[in-house]
Order: sequence, then C-alpha cells, then structure tokens
Amino acid sequence: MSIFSFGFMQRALVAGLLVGLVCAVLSVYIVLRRMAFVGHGIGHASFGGVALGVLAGVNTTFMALVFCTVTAVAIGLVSQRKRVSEDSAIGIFLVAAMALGVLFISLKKTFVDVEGFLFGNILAVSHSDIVFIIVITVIVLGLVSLFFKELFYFSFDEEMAAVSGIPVTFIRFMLLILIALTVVVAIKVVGVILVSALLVIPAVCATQLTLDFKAVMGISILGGLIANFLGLLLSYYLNAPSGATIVLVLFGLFILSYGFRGARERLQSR
Amino acid sequence: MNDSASGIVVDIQDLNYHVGDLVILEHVSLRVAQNSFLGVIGPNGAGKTTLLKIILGLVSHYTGTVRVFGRDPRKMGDMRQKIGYLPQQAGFDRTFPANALEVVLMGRYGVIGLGRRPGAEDRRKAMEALERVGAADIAKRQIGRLSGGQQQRVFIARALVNEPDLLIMDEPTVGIDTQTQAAFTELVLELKQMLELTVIMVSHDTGMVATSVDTLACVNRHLHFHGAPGELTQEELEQLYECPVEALFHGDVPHRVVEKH
Repeated sequence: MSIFSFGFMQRALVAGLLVGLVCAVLSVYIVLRRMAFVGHGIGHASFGGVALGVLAGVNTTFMALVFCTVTAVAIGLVSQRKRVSEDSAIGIFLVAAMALGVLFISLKKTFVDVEGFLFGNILAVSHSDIVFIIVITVIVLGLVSLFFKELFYFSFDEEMAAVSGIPVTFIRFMLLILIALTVVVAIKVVGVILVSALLVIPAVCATQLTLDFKAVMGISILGGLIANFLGLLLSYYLNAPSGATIVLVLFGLFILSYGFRGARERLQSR
Repeated sequence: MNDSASGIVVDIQDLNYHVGDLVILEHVSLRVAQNSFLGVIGPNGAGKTTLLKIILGLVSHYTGTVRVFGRDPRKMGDMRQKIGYLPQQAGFDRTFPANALEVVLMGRYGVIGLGRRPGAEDRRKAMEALERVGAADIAKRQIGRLSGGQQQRVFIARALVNEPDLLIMDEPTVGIDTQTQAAFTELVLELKQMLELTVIMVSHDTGMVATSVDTLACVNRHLHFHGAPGELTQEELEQLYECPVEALFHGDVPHRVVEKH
C-alpha cells in the first residue's frame, strides 16, 4: 500500500500494531480480574509525569514511566492494606496526578502540546519511540508467557492461588507494573484519555465470543491488531484524529461481538 | 518425635487473633488427630473461617502456637501440598473462561513450579482426581456452566490433586440443595476412608455435622466445646449461638436457630 511508503506511516503502523498487541494481552487479565479502572487510573497518572517532564526539561516518556510505576505500586500497596478499597485508591491517585499535571503545565509559560498527550499522536512517533515500544513489548510478552499459568490462576481465584503456593503478591505487583509500562507506550498512540479503551475492549470482545482461555487471548490480540491497523488507515483517509479513530473501531468491534453473542444465544434457545 | 509421627495433624495452643480492637479469636487451643473428622460450627462472624485460614497459613499476625504437620503454617514450603483446601464458594466469576480440567490442574501449579507449564503427568493426575469424585465426564465443560454440586466436585478434585493428607473445607454445602448435600457428604466420607484423610470442615449445617464428624468444635471467638457431637448439650449450643436453639441433632432434622425477640 502506497501510504505506508511514508516513514512516519511505517513507524505509526509498527507502533500501532505493537501497542495493540501488548494492550490486548494485558486486557485479558484486566477484564477477568475486573480491574478496568486500574488502566484508566494509571493512564491519567501519566499526565502528571509528562507535564513534570516538560516543566523540568526531562524526557517526558521517562517521567511518565516514573509516575505510572509509582502510581501502580501505590494502588497495589494501598488496596493491599484494605483500609481504602482499590477503586477508591485509583480514584484518588488519578485526580491527584492529573491535578499535578495541570499545575505543572500552567507553570510552564511556553507552548506545550497538551492535546498530543491527552489524545495521542501516532503520526509523530519517532525512531527512539519505536525502540522504546519494542523493549516494552518484549518485557511484557516475556513476563506474561513466563508466568502464564500463575496469571491464569491469579485471575481466577487469588486466594486459592496463594493456597496452592503461587506468589500472589509478586504476581499482583508485576501485573500492575506491566500495566504501567504498557500505558506509557500506549499514550503515544491513543493518549492519556483513551488508553483504557485499549486495555479493556479487546478482551471484552473476546469473552463475548468464547469461553476458552487461550481462545480469549487469541481473539483479544486479533481484535487489538485489527483495531489499530484499521483505525490508523481510516484516520489517514478520513483525516481524523488517529487515537479516537482506533478507539471507535474498537468500540465497533465490541458492538459486533456483543451482537454476535446475542444472535447466537437466540439461535441456541430456539 | 514430631507431631505428625505422634498422630496429631493440627496442634493449636492458646491462639489469639485480633484486627485492630476487634477480637476474632481468643485463647483457642485445639488438636486434630490423624484420620479424624473435625466439624467446626458457630454463628456468623465467629472466627471459623479465620481459624481455617490460620491453619492454611493465609493469616499471619496471631499470637500463640499453631503447628500443622509439626510445622509453622506460615512457613510450610513444599509441605503446603499436604493440605487440600475447599474454600467457601461464591467468589469466582461464572463467565471465567476455564473448564473443569483446567481448574483441577491449577491445584498442580505450585508443584510444577514457576515458569513451567503443566505436562502429561499433571493432566493424568488431574483426570484421576476428577474420576475419584465422579466428575470425569464434565472435564471439558466450562466451570461456570456446571451446577453447584458439580462445581463442588471439581473444587474437591482440585483440593485432592496433590494427594494431600489433610482436607480443609469451608461451608462446602452452602447454596446446594439438600439431595446434593447428602451425596456430597457421602462422597467426603468415602474419600476420607479411601485416601486416609484427616478432614476439617466448617459448616452451618449442624445436622450434617452431627451425623458425620468424629469430633466437634464450637467456636464463637472462644472455643466453647470440643468433643464428640453426642456430648454437646442444648445449653452449650445456646450459649454458643447466644440465642435459643429450637431443635438439636435428632435424626435427620437439622437444628434451627430461633430469632431473637
């Protein structure tokens, strides 16, 4: 295809597909553990990091990484103590980090591309971004395949996993940190606001279609790849914002899978 | 000579556990002999589940001594596999994409070790456990689509997959109809004999407890009674529940707790 002869489109495609892949893999655990709000919270926390990076003149991706990881660990620690519930903890860290971000941006008097952080700009992905995305992809996929069975049991029943000798505290924090790493690369593609869509919708689509775990993983990955590819293509031809287009394609896939399940259930009950 | 050689599987001495100001368990001392069947009864919030979790090593900050197979339950290591656990139901997601065989295989994960996948041997053991509880035919069915009784069999198979010596069950018959409950009780007694298990079971169902267990422990923060079920008097039971108890262990009639007026 001719549009992929442009360097920025090639990078956008690679970034989109890799981000689609890692997000789809993690979305399975996020959806099965009912922690959709976690991706949302960590995503918003990254804004504080990006803004601090801009203000201090430090690499924004690095600062976002620090902010997201700290938030992920804090959510894990606070909810482990059980004095504050996990969703309340996320709600608190989310707004605190966002507020810090707004404050930092306001202190910086020069122009800052806030919209790029909030909504992503996949066409502005650089060579070093690509390297970063590849590194994160390898880390996430490597750890998920290494701890595949532990994550499966942990998602099904955390307490029983502990009884069976699974190091659940390690798995819990590993998952949170992997989500944090993924959020940082995903905001390049869809931005802070929309990142939770990539971390939730692919697995929701998959669970509409099958009750087999490996099939859920496969369909989720397929959905993530299709949405990022198709979304990128559509946004190019329609001259629409890429992040929003990708998310809307994902939403379309959700509607399709939801409708498919409903139709199948009606047929079966007939 | 260690405890397991002396025939004592669980040995609890002056166990105290509290969360903040709330006393959950106080001065509890209890011994469970090998191959015995202990029933634990008591009102809601009496600390029964906590007691089990302490035995399982899931709760750490208590005082007193607890020994399971002569070891501190918090530091069981590989000995953990000698305990099978059937938790209180309700927790899991009915739409979770896992079939019965996969659920039983989960019980093997701790033995398989980190970074490795279940192999043919693990699958064989899991199938064997399912056969033992009469659930081999539902191995490929999704767990959430099974009936309550079938799910219970699958979870029991998971508890037994590592051939444990001690089986711990928390309210195993809650949410299951009476007929299935009877079949379940029979299965547990059969398994206990066949596998030479020591069984600890928490239950609301005092009728079932009275007819199947060897010893009874009545827990309401304190250990109110510990002995054979027949020795428990109505007064003791009423004291335990802190309210009048209408019928006791007479035949098959389960007791009923009369509401406070």
